[in-house]
Amino acid sequence: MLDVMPILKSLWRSKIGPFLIICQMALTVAIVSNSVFFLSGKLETIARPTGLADTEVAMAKVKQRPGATFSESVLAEDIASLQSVAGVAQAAAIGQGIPFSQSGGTSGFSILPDSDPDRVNRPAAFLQVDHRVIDTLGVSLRQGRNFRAEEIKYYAPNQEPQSANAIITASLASDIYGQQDPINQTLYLAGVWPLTVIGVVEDFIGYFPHSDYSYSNVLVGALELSASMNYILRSDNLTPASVLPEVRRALQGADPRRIVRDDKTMASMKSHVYQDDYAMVILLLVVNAGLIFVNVLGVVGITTYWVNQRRRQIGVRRALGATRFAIQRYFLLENVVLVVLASVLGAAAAAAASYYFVVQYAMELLPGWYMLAAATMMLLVTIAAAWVPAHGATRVQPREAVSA
Amino acid sequence: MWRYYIHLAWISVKKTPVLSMLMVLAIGMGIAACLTTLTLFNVVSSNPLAHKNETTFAVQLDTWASDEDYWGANGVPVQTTFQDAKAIYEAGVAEQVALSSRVGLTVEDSSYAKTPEVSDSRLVTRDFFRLFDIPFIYGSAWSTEADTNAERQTVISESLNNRFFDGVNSVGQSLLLEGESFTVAGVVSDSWLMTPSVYDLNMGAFKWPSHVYIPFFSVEQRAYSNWGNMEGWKSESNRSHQDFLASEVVWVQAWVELATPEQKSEFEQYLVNYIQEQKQRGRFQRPLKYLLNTPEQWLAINDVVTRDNYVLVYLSVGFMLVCLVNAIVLLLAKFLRKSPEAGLRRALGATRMSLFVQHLVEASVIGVLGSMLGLVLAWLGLMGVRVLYSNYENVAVMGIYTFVGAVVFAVMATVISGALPAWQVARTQPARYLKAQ
Repeated sequence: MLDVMPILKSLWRSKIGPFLIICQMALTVAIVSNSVFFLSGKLETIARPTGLADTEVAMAKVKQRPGATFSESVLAEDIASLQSVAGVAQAAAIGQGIPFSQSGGTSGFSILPDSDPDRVNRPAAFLQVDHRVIDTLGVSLRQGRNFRAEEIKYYAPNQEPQSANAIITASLASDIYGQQDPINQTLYLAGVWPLTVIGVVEDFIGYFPHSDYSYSNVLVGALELSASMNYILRSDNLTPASVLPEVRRALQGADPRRIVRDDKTMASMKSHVYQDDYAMVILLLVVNAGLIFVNVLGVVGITTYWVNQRRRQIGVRRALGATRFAIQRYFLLENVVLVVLASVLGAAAAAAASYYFVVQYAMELLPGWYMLAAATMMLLVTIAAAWVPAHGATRVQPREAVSA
Repeated sequence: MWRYYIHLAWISVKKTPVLSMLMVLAIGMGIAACLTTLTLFNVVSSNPLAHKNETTFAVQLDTWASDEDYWGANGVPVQTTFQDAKAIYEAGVAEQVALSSRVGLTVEDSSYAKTPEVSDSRLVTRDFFRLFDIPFIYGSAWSTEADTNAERQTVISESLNNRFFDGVNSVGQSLLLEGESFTVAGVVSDSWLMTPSVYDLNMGAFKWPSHVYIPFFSVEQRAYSNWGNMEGWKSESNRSHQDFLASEVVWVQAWVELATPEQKSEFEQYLVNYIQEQKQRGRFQRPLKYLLNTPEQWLAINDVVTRDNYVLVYLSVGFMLVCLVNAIVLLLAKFLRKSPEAGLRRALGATRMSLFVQHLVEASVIGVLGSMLGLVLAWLGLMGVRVLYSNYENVAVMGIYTFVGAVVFAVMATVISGALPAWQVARTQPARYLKAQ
């Protein structure tokens, strides 16, 4: 520690070089801490539990030949032929709101009807499902019961049934009912459509994962019989991707004018949904790696320069009895002093930048330990970078002090 | 003199190959990061209708619930109801009215020889093609009569024409859409790709154009499966398609072209009268409000440029700064190491200015090499971006202005960053080094 004062003095005397390298490191600490924080938010979104058997699920859309619509018997035939495909354990029909599909409906849900002025609407996504959907998606029931086959309401376009049963996710249940038991309560969809809650399932991610209420979902036991229907399936011992060709054939059936499309696995839907987040994470990682690399270049360069500049002084110190270790320690310590100064400046810059992001883009404030982590990382990286030139300094011979 | 300086610079670069390479690499990386993200930002923030920004307007009408604001955008619905869209079209006040909505249509050839498909389609009025500058390779848009009578005419994309008509001129031929026969009026070029897709910013601003267009008012005869957004606030029970058309559900995108300020004020007067008339019928329960947005305003209202885009730009500018500071530090180290040489030259009569210029030239040589490397790295970076974001596939391409701008900026930046070290070395006191020698 006794070297610190002379280090500070010598840094002060050369001013411009140390000042610049401190600026560079400070900027790096500010950028790295902010971008790692930003990136961890993205990773958290991607990695949060889906509540679904998403690695086992796949989907396909079917459109009947022009003029034809679905009927209960067509549905039953399709489900039967799906279940006959090797590798398919379960199959179900889903009208809209397939998780991760980015297409579906969102509505306000309340315990009071539209006519009541005290009604409070909670936004949630709704899925139109048959009685097999919960098992096929791998959603787990927490309370109440699943739909029974005979309870599902099949209806023609624009002929919504007067009532239907519904199963809601735990998040929505606690939002709407709090401590109350939701089972057998009435829930109004858009204030007009009364649904009877028959069960509560564990949270799962809905059709639009980037929504603020992606865990608030309502499964409605009703299916519209229009020209189009979506099927989901769950594979058992085979991967969902490997059963898709056979699924396509099974759904195509004998009618060449029937169209089977959008057959894909939930895993691929998930990676499509998070594509921009992944891209952002990768870009941030690349730029941060570049930043650290540039700092390494800078530290190697400046330390080499300082060693060369002070060959005579090193020689004098060596001649006066300083050990090789003491010489190396001096240069490493110099680097530590620079990083510490830079970290203080960098933390201030990071906080300022974070404050700007909070005000401008409503992001969260950067927690202090991200700055600490970035500073520590900086310290380790630069010590490693300074090691080689600092070690080179120990090879300066004492006679260099006198030879000049 | 300049050639001599450049020669000296080259000798100096070669004398410390590793250090020089590190400097070139650092500058190159900074420039590449900036170029890549700025190109991306450029794409995302561009206005493809800039040339008619003063005459083209997206119409917003505040038909939302009396007790709450529309939940998104600027608090006014971003789409209109069918009845309001129809009224605007039929009033004929605006010279061009482009109504549109995205649907999915089953496409078959009349002999059922090809595999049918469900195509991304749009219901549009004929002005849509002119307003959004869609180039035709065969035929043209359907007539105004076809528009108002919802005739069975269609405009298809080049790729759909390739698939169903083997790329020949299909104008006048028929195509089955949802099982009904439509006559092809025109084929539009696949080269038309508006980025961002100003005409429809629902569900992402980077989408491929539709493959089939049919007259907008076909929707009065039958329902098509909607592939756009439908939003409602009113508890209406629509028991039929006609109920739906008469409802308060918003699902139509309405654009108008108003060539002169007079036309614009005339159209605004029309809207005020229309809204007041509707208010008397119990609609438009909120304070009278309508907006005519220029494409530029429309892009801003729909948040096409995301937070992530800004974050990336800040990040790369920060990175660039670090790289430049780093270049200054390394140049400083390198130049000061040559102080004895500089001292000697000063003693032999070189002026400070000539030493300064000489070192500045050396810095510029490093800068030019760094910029060249930066351009190569940026090219690789953009390839990477295209892989990462499949929806920017065709658009993340460096424009000529970005390219020239980047080169000029990069060289200027390194010359400026070379100035400080060059000045330091030019101040060398000859006496000090002569003594040491």
